[in-house]
Amino acid sequence: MRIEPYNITFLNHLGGFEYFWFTASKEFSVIIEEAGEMTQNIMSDWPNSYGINADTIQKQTYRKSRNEITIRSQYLSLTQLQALKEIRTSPLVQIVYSRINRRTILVDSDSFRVYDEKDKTFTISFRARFTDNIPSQRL
Amino acid sequence: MAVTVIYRPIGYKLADAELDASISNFGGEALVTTTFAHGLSNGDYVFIQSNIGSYNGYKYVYALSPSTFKFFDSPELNAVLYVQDAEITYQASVLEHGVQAVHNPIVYDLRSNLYPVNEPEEAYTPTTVSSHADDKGYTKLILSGNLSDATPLAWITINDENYQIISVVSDSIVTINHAYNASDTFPGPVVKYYNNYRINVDVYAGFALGHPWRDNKPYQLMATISFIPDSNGRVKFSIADLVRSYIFTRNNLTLDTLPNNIDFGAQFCIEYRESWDESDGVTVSTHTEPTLSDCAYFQGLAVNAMMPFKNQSINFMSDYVRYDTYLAKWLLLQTQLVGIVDKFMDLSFINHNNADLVVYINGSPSADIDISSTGIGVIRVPLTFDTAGTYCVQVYQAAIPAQDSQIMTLSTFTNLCDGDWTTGATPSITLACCGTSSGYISDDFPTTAGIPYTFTVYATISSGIAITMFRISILDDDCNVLGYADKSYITPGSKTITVSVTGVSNGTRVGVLVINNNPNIAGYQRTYQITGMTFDGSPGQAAQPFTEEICIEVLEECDDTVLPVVDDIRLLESGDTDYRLLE
Repeated sequence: MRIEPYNITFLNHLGGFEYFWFTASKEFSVIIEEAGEMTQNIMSDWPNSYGINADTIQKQTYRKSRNEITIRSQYLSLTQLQALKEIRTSPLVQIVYSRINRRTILVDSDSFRVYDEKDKTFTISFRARFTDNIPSQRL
Repeated sequence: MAVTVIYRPIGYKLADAELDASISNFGGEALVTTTFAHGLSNGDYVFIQSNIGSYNGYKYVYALSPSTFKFFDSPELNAVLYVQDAEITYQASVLEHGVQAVHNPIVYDLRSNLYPVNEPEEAYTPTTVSSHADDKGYTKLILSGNLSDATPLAWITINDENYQIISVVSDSIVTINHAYNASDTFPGPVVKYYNNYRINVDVYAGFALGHPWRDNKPYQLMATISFIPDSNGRVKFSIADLVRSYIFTRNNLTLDTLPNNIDFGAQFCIEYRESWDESDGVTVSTHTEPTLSDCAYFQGLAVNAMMPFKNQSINFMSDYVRYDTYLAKWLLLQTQLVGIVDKFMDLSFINHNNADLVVYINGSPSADIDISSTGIGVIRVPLTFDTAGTYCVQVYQAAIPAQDSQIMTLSTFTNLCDGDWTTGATPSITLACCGTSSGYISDDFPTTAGIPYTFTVYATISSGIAITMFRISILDDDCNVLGYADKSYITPGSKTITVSVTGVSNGTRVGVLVINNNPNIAGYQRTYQITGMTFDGSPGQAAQPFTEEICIEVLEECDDTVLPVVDDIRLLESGDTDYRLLE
């Protein structure tokens, strides 16, 4: 499977936008944020609602979910890493597909280790949620 | 003036040279002595560092000699006092600017001399209480002189106590709301007290007149805020929160105004006025003084940035504005940029002085992008590369072509800045003595900051002693003087006045002003007439670097060479010099 690099931009503290091309493999996940259930009123259709042909007592009414991607950088120089670590502190991070096509992502707010002086290689990774819910139907 | 601006949010771009000097006692004030000609003038600023805290920071300079100067925290305050001898290092400021981060405080400091201490009356109206008497249980004061506001319901201060006047017999005999006690004493001067005193500040943000995108983000009154001065008569406040509401944090790559990202910038300034309770003898109402504008003196540019806690330029974007050979840094953290063929990216920088700019992209192929007439603000340079390779990007101030001489048509000149000339083919004016100014007579004449323009004015001065100064100025439409040159004369007759004038920012007009400096003696009045004026040309200017150069390693999309600078590749413990980290 081909790795699809991401062109990611983020707003730095100076008021400029930084761009970086993340080429390492990513991990795609779906977060289920919320699900709603309801209990059927089995009395209204009694006894059909409880017999051999009965369907369900409980059912789900909706699900709220989002796509999440774990984005990892390729190996970086230390100076690159020190600049790119601000992607974790920026309030505005976007995947740039083209000048007119962008998608804002929400970077996880976990604390993180930038590097250890004993590290022989440097990388940065973060989890990013899409800002929109995955479309799904409601009952 | 009752209110003065003690501190404006002005930043300073410092010269690289760190100079050593010493501080000694000069009549109780700290005096800097250098072993070389410091070259500073009154009004310059320096950044001082030493082991004595009160000497340190950005200071206003008052030069006493080529090798000595005093310094002030603000030109409105007294000189910094001597504490002890010290060795200092200082850097001179090469540029004062108002470009600052909107997510840091944008601070003004205003001072009132009316509240809480009425300094003018304390100093110049030594009215005291001569005696006091019982007036139906209240205290009647018999004063040594007249009160400035002897009106029922007005307030006075005696020895830091405030009293309201109940009734008035005369300007020097009043009854106050204080129970009579024969043993009371009222030492000290009796002065008007400004009850319910406020300094009201109007905060404006947007783009000023002349900005090309002013219609998209016009100057607006963001809020009016009221302050009660502290015990020193000072109010110190930040307007950052208000200006920030006019900054929009979003990444709009199809913004109509690009390359000027007006979302990320807004000019700002303040106006202010005092108010207090005033009595007409029956009712108390709020008196408001005329509004004083600071906008003509100082307009800052707030940008969508936050400066780190420990940095020399405080909240000012001093490293990101350009002056002469001190180039503006890009608004970037990365120093080794990587681009991808056909993938969009952009670089941001600050154009703080409305310069016409060109972006040069040196590579294979090279290209340039004209970004003239964008106005001040945060500029985004859009970049998309078709071919892999190394590209170095640098913004230049566009070359300004030399201009030929031309005869100026005096009949199109009009009065400006309180000018009172009789206009026409040969404008004239008659002035009284003792420094009376004509105001400007001026005409449209666009000029570029930093470029010298030479003019010759042909004028006549009526007979008699004629101590006269002619001033030829570059102006803007708001009557701000952006540069000027003076020529003085003491004899009447025809004068040919040739001067070279350079504006500190782009101008729109050129004007002539005359001042009659004759003493107040019989026949001091003089008539001045301009009989001709020529523009003698300007040399123009070659393109000047504006930003630092930054290089971008542009790779093909499938290229996995992601460390553009080989020196940055870390080696494994084996120390293999040829070892290269791969994905």
